[in-house]
Amino acid sequence: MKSTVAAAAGVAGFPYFVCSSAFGQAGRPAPSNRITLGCIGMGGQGTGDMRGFLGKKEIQVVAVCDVDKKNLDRAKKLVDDKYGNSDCKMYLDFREVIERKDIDALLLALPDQWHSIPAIMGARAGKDMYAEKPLARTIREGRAICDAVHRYGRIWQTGSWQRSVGHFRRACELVRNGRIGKVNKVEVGLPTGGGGGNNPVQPVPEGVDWDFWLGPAPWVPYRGVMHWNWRWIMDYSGGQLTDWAGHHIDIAHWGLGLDRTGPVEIEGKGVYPKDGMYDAPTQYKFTCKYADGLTMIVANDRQLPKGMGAMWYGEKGWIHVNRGGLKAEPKSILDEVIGPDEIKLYESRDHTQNFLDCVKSRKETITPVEIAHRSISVGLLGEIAMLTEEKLKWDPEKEIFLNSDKANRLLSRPMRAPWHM
Amino acid sequence: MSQRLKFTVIGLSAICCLSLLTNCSGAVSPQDVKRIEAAMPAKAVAVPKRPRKLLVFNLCKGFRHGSIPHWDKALEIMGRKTGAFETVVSGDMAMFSAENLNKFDAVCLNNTTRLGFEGPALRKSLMDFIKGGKGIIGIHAATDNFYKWPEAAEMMGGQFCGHPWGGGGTWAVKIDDAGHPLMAAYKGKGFKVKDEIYRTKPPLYSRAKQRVLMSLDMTDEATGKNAGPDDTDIGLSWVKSCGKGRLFYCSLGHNNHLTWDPALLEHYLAGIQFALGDFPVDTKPKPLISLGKGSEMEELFEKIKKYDYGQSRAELTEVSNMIRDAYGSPQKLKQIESSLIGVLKSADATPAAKQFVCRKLSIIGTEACVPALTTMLTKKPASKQEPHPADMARYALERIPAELAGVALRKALPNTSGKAKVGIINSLGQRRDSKAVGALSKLVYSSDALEADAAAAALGNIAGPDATKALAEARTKTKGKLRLVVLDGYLKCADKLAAEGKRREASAIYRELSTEPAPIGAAALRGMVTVRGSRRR
Repeated sequence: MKSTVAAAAGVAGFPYFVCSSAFGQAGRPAPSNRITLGCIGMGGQGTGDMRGFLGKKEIQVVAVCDVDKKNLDRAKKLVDDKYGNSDCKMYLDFREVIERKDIDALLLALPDQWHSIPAIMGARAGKDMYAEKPLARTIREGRAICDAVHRYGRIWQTGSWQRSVGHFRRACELVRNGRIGKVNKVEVGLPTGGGGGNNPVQPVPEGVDWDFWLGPAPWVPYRGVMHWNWRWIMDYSGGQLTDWAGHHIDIAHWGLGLDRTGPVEIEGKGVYPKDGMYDAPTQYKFTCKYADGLTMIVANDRQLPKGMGAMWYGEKGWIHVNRGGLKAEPKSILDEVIGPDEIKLYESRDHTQNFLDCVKSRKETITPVEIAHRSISVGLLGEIAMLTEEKLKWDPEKEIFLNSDKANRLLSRPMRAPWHM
Repeated sequence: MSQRLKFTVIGLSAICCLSLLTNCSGAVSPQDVKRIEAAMPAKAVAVPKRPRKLLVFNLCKGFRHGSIPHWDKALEIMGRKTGAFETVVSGDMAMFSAENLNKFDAVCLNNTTRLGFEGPALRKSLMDFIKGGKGIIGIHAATDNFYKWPEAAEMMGGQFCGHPWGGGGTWAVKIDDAGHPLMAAYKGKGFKVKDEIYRTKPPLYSRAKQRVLMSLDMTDEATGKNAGPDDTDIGLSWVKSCGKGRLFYCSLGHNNHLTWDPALLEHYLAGIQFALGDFPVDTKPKPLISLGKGSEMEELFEKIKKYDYGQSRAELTEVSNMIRDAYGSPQKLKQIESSLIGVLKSADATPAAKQFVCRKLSIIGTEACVPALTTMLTKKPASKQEPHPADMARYALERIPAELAGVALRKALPNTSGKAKVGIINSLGQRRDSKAVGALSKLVYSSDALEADAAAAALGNIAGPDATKALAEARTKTKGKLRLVVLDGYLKCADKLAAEGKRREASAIYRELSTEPAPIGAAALRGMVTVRGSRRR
């Protein structure tokens, strides 16, 4: 499928990604009508996401990219085995994937310090993107991604796949339609942090471009922190808090209809490993106040009565949802039917398919960029409040703290040269 | 040997075996008594002002420690041998009646557990006794009491919550207050001890409320490994004033062998004499690192200078916490900033230490640290296996709002090259430094592709009238990948104008760009529609 300009002003979203009628046919579209996908970041999550795309008939994975040769080889083999050819190209440098004019869409699944740069470049190159949560490592980077995606009219899906699972949507619809009355408190439980040890400096494994892996993050020598366990180091992640903000905070926001704004006051405390190679908080608890008086408490599961998940407390009862299911008090809430005139939330049953449908229709996905930004913003605001141990006043419109210079400094991170947004 | 005598011997050895197994003997063996006698200091630490009487109390309502008889015996020997006090050992709560208590100068809780002191009379007499000017001493499990009597728990300076460091392990102890008279026995040297360590947590345990004399040394691998994430400070021994009275507590003494440890006995003797009122010492609470004391700060920052990747971060954490605790006090922050600058200027500080310092300065740095950071902008790394000094310096400079930081970055532009220069361009863009537009406008035409790309992106981030003009001009003079960055920046300028309500100026740029190929042209069309929409509203 080729990208062409549809200059027809007045069409919402200015589609210059024109869908072919071939999509209406049964079976797989002709190669020229498939959405070509470049996959950047071929670790566990990226490979899992790519498998989802490989299962879609309208997709042709044409490029895989990683700074670890091992990941790259494994990914290419997966693609080649699926298609029965060896057409898929391998890249070390994501910029070469983005420069390819024959690529329509990107799958981005990189460590968090690498979330903003490829996304912004991708938008500028006119790619639609399916990108892993959290949206960005800092609030400023998140805003820059939003701006770029909007500027270039790109379709964006965030990997907050719980939105495409029925019982999560059901929970949010019940809350949104007042089944527990006015909600005054929400508790969001995320996993308790892990990690330990203090690895010595060691040789970089063969086939890994360590400098590239670090990218914009401060230079440090290789100590065995790379795939997966990067999430316990604050240069690359905020630990379980930011890893999971895009799930249960996202759902909590959805149920409240607050997913395009943010809190006005944040205060909390974290427990940080005082030694060892990891520095992300293992335990955390912070309270957010929203403009309408609602309180949201975000904490690791051990510090909340209901553990993991989103828990809305209303005047008439409560609803709790997590991956295990949906609970409510009174239980009769669960039998409630949402009437035809009531709020119906965006319905998607397949997160990957929702992205592809939107790439074709040019409609907003179930987790567009602004929503992803607002979900992770809560996690990042909590992170800053815990680091400064200050009671922070936040302006969700201007996205600045109103009462702390130190906190404002933490809204962005200086990038290592030559990288920039 | 007669049958009867034989039976007695067997019986005795059975009891001995049992006592070994359970670590719970009714009496102390003659051999252990000899050991205690031998290890006991010969002299009192201070000459008693008058004959002193110590109540050694050993009732347990919870777990009963096997070392209780040993401590009963050791204190009896201590008092007798040194002449410091006379002991009365008891497990009878009636001893706490005002009438009985007043016969004593201090009470020693020998591993008592779960004492409740139900009923107001006994609570009042004990509190009156201590606050009126007498003493209380706690051995090991003495913090395992008063769960329903907050005032007494507060007085003890901590409450038992687990012992992650078991009695079978050997743990490292650091001396926090080497100059304190109660610590004389240790001569300022940390030590290792095989004992069970009681954990007491804030807020009851707090260096703001008591003078902590020694604590677990978490830099020791085995000791640190057993610590939970918030077990940062596990005090082992402390003193405090309670009204007119005195408290001395020491957590060591779970295992019997500690009753014949000469240094610990000397420590206990000094602590008991303090509690009895014969050995006045400083009980003023003291933070782990007190900002006021230059030498301690210097000592800590000397350690920071030597930090390298892979080593313990304990000292770095200490500095980070110190900074966080100093928020709101510009004077304290200034003092810390000057110590951090000291590390930057030091010739023997490691690159890892300097990187740490720059991270901290990025949050608390002021104009004061700008000169030291500026020097780093033009330095080259000694090897590829260390962070680039310019990257480190920018990590701080980019975030420091002071205008002087912008001046430093702008001035460094002509004196740098390669990645260092590219980084400076990026930081100027991130700072939205409109005073840098003149220099950046020229750098868009640099022969170095990275510099040109960075300059075009920076101009787009700065936006504003001058940057807009520069990008409009660059649109006609650049090509290829660079031109795409220029156009992207130009679009950003239009977006900014639109956001500021300058619709006509924004529309003009959008119209200009609408003829560009796909991504840029389509984005310009979107911009035009958005601006038109906002006009309708």
